[in-house]
Amino acid sequence: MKNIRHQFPLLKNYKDLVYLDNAATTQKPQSVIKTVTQFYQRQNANVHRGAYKLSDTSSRLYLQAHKTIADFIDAREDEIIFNSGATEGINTLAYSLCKDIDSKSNVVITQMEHHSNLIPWAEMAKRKGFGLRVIPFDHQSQALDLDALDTLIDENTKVVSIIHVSNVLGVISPVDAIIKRARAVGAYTIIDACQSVAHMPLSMKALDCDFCVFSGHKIYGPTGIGVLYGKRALLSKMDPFMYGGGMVGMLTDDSIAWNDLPMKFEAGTPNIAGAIGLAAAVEFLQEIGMDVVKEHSISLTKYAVEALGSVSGVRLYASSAQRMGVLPLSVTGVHSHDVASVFDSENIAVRSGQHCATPIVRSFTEEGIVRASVAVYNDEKDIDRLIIALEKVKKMFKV
Amino acid sequence: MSDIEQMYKEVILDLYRSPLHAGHLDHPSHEASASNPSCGDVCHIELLVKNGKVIEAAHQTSGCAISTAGVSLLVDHLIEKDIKELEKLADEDVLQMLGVPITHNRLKCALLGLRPLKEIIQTMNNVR
Ligand SMILES: Cc1ncc(COP(=O)(O)O)c(C=O)c1O
Repeated sequence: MKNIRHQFPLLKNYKDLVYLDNAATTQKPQSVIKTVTQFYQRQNANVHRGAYKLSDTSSRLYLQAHKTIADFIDAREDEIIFNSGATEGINTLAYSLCKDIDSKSNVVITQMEHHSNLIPWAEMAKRKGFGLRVIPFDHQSQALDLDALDTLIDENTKVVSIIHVSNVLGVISPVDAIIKRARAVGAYTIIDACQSVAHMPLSMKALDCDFCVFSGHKIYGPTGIGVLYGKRALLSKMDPFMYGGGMVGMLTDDSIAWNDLPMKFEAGTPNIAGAIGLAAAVEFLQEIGMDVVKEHSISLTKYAVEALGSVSGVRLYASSAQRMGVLPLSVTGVHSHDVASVFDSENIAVRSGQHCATPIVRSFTEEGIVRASVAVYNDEKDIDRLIIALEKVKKMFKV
Repeated sequence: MSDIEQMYKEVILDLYRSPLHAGHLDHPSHEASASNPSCGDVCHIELLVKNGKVIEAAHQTSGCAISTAGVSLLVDHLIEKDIKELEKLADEDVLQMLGVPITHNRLKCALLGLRPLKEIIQTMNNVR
């Protein structure tokens, strides 16, 4: 992919920077920065309220942002709820869906979950006394182990909440098979699409999940904005997550009717600039084309896997797995933090440690994992620099 | 020497490979642990204190070069010292023991050992 890097002011400001921490957050293109700035300079007003022109403009842009996101993930605009991010999305779902759950019930997640799709369920399980079941990761086949799926997901399963692409391994979950099984027992299905949405086209219709969450900042949008998708039929009958302004339809002395979707779930003044900025980020991706983005992620990941395979003393975790955009590594005899520090001295930004996903990291190592993750602006030269830096690590630590 | 070469000076790497006072005491009078949840580093410190003085000290640390070296140097410093004196130990003192430049994000590695030590001293003070 050409002419991408120069659209990112930060990357222009740091010409020598090899930014490979994209699974944590991506850099922002000029178009997103400009959209947000322009909003505050020329369009800022609260939404759904004033009769004046500015409020009309901001309301229109905010509604349009729902539509842009809806088109992007093949959903309806009233199925798109803006919030602060994936963490909020899962927490609101955990509170909502566990409200009437009894102790005989269970919720199913996978061993690859980010803490944001583990801790909310664990906490609810503790409060309500229901069981939290985990679809294990099989180190042999380097994939989720579905052998026991039919017993893990049973008639008492109320919610199945699964990560789409692992933020540690890049491994893709067999979501179709899991959703199918969940459907068969009538459980709600939630997809954590935080990583997948950055690398591949997503269709809510094709996935057929009930809910889906992701964060704007991992797909070139601003921080503090996220998306909760929910099937219209479900959202219509669910209670609001939060109560306040903007979510009320009719208010009389003795009754309240909730506002239409999605406003029913967007109580309070929303992150208007964030939503509009996220829409600009999605337009940036659509301009490239998600098929092209996917192709780029696949080929760059493949290039990296091959390059890493030729470096002695370096381990790529789940090396033969089907993966997307994420490269989890370690250098034998060197702690992941120390590797990342040496990388930093070469102007290479990667993450190290537990990646808020302790269960899957611990199943591989106690030393933490070094994670390089790619985005649209990375190329083979970045991977080459990574390989050179690995040699420096080995030399410094004499391993 | 570049910053990174200073941070990973030979003494630090030596302490990483062979930490000082690693292991257990036969009869510790006090012990405490600490961990850094974001990186998974863990450190356990054991002390034998008599008449307000540290007689023996040991630790088990699983972590990066900076945290392992930091705990090593700290534990080495404790031996033969009065608790009264150790009470005053501050972040800067541990950084000084390490004597290498530590970036902001690595501070929690460098200072890992201070937390169990402070906990031990706190418990002693509570008992007193
Ligand atoms: C797979 C996955 N799920 C959830 C999250 C949480 O996202 P946020 O911190 O933006 O709420 C992350 C971010 O690290 C992630 O990678």
